[in-house]
Amino acid sequence: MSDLSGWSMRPINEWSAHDPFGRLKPSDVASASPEIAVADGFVHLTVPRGGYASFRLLVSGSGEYRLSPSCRAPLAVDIYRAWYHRMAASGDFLPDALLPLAPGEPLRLPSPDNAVPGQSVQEFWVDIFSPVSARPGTVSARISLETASSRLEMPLSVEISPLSLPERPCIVMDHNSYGCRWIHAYYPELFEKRSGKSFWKRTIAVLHDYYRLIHEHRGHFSNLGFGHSGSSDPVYAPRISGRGRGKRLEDWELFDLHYAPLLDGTAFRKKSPGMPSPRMPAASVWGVYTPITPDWPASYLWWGEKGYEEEFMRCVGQFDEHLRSLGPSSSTVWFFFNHKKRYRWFEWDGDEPKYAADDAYHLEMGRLLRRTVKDSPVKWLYRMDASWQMKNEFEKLAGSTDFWVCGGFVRWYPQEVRSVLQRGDTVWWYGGCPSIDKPSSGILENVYKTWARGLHGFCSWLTTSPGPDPWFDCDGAATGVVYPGARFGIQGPLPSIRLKIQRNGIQDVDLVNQAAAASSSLDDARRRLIDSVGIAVWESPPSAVLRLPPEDWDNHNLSTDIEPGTLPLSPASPDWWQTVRRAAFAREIP
Amino acid sequence: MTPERMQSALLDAARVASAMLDGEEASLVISPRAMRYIASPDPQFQFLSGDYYDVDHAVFLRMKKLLLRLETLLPFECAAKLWVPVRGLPGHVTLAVQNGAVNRYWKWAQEKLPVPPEMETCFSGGAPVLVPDDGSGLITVLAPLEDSLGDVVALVEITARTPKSRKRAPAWS
Repeated sequence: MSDLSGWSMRPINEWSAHDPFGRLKPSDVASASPEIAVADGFVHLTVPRGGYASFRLLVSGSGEYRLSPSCRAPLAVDIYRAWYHRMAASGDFLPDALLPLAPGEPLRLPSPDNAVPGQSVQEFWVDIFSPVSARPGTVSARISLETASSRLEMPLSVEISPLSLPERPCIVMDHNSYGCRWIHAYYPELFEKRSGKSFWKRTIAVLHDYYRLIHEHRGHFSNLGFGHSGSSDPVYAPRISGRGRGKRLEDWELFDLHYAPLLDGTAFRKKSPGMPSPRMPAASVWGVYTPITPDWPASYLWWGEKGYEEEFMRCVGQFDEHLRSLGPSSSTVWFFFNHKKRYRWFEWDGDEPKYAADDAYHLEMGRLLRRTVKDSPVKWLYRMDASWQMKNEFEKLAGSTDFWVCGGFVRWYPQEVRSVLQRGDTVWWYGGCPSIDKPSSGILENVYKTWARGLHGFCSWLTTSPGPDPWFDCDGAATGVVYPGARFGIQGPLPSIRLKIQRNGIQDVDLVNQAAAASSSLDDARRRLIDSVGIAVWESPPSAVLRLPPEDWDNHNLSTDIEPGTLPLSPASPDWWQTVRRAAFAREIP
Repeated sequence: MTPERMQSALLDAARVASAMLDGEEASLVISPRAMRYIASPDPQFQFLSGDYYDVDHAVFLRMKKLLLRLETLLPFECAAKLWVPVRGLPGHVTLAVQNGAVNRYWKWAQEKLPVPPEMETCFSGGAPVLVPDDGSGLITVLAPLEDSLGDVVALVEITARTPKSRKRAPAWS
């Protein structure tokens, strides 16, 4: 759609990014058909009830303009301007962070704040939302582009599908983060002249905005409060007083302010700054970390002695009692150790143990926990992030650890994983997010593999840290799919294109799962989807895995990278997700 | 408490550390394989030596508990740590055991560092060395640990924040 004064609008599928000069992102170049075909003068889209349909809108031209959506109720249209990140390594400008567009907001090409020399194209992300209550059928909508001398319209024909999304996604796509000190650096204005409890209360308010943004994108936000030393900031834990038989937890004010709205779901009744009103049902979070470490609440000075058990049982018991006092919740509560011996605080690995001897500590911690909370209605889970020893630990820690978050090695153990799932344990796996310069559909690989393997979830190990200068000197933001909004006057997190693509992928998997579960054919559906997509989800282990104990494995003898997020993406076409999308709406997998 | 009184208390604790901790045992905390990788890290994979890091559980725990007890001698919050030379790489030390989140020398995930001058003094002089607040907001004392031959083979670092210091460690430490 174009006019004589040089302005144009082009609808592009969600998996094809363009730079500010209208060229496909290099890693998306293999896309067979980035442009959405216009039929009968309309851009045709299908939206599930309770979810979104999305596309990218490319605006070309020069000068001032305004974009405005219009549609009939019950649909809602949200438009976001994509920020072009200058990539430090290549100098390319690539879109990712999304700035919500206010109604009638004046815009300009080139965009002054983005400061891309010679910019001729601006990419926008368009979200069309249908509530669950919408009646199936076709609704028209349009996007209008107004300039001083012309007006262009893009008519949309939106089919509201009879399919409704489940309230809770069938897989947990988890966005992990560490502590809260980064918030103070991202939003300095919010914390000026604040101290004491006022400072920490504001911290909690911002943390809740991160929970909300991810929840609205069908994801799950996790915030680990303690450090490797075993200590945490006051928003995560009550205060301790006394020792031994007199040790107790007290002052729950900040803890309750932080966790009560997450455990009962009321946190999700509010919107986060700059974002649309809540659309996902307000529900309890799937799970939360606790502040328990080897040195909290029991002092590690007494480890191996009767005083440790006394302090542990007394204080973890009080912790459990306090959770019960907050009322029933469907949330799981995680007993989890993150410390690594390489940082020298403890002699065993809480996280990713490499040495079998460390499992004895986990067994003892599991014994203490089970003894303390054995009749509690609180949904305690002993979470273990397992990698090197996972195959052995599946057996050795059975009955103690019941929530496994497995490293990339999980791909070598289909039978073992199946056994763990069959005994009722929760199984996630973990890794990283692809950086901005990777194929746009790359972020869907983790969604696909999670569901296709029959796992319950995937933890992206860090998604709130897009780098020191994500705006003009971007390192790829592999550890940040949400951005701090402060530089744009939004005192809360901004979504990204990667987050939106992931949300839509979760929707698709929810529809596929729903249809397969209804016909009791989940395993069969998984097999057929794997065949159709063509990306393998299980692999044979390298010979070193069969020859050597995990203590002797390393990058050389495994011939693979070990750190999360470093595994290469499968070499699929950027449009590979179309197969899943078609399966989602056709309710059958070819 | 004034910085002067803190310094005096730290020096007292350092003398106790030298008397109570066995240098020979301190040098057994880190496994020989881990020490080899600290001295000669893999040039291709930066995390490989961390993956091979391991300790003697019993010795580590004994040292950690002694360090925690040392901290209780002081009427202010402090962090007691154990440093040992890197075998196979002269002029370098590595942290073997640590407590707390206050650090003068250790940087996050650091495997080794060139011996700082005050540690060098402690190794060669065989007496406690006080490192006053140099603007960092920290006061440190270093205590030498001897082996059975009388050689100084390890150091205890006890570091505290000065009352005026409001510096906070990263949340993940």
